[in-house]
Amino acid sequence: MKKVLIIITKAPYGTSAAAEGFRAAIGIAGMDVDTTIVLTDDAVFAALKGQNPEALGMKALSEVIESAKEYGARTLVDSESLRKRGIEKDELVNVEIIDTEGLADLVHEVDAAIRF
Amino acid sequence: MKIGIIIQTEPCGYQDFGTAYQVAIAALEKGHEVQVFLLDESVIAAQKKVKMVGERQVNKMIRDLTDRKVRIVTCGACCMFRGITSDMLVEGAEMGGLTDLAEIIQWADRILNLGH
Repeated sequence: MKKVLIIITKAPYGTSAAAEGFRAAIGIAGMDVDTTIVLTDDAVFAALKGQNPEALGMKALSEVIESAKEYGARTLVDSESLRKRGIEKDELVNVEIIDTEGLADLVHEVDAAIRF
Repeated sequence: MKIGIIIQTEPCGYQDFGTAYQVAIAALEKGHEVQVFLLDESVIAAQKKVKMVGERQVNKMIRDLTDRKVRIVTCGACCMFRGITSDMLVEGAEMGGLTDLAEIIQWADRILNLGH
């Protein structure tokens, strides 16, 4: 089975990039592709608890993380990006944390990486 | 080698489409096979009425690739979001979906992503 890493770097709202990243991840995960999502840079905000983007007409991406998991795509969050933004693990929904070294290993391991 | 190219940026403001075209032509001339998936803003490139006067004539590039038997698939939802219907596409470009993206990932030995 092909392994794909979806790297999301953009903030959850303001551009469609993060939402499109999750949509692509769910789409290919449902088609027999081993899919992992990693949130880096401002995309880490997508994993914060208590998001309510109703006024933007958007669905909370923290909920989409759960949907992606149901399709078999797990979400990892880059520890260095969290540290730079002063975000603690207990502020996040149920995600795994990955450090820079782990991320580098993952990039080596996958067949393809698609960046959003 | 089988090369899958995934583009996400729109063709007027970003050079990615032109880069992808040049890589595709170079790869074809070395005997490799190429398939292209147009995701997000890049679907704009597949419209036959796009007319960029000057050096980067995107729909000529699309036609050149389809003439060389390169499969070019657009993300159907991305087209729908932008009001693009199948009759608006350059002849030879397909209206597809994330299923095709998964297929291209499975088909390719190498994925090149010109992403967000």
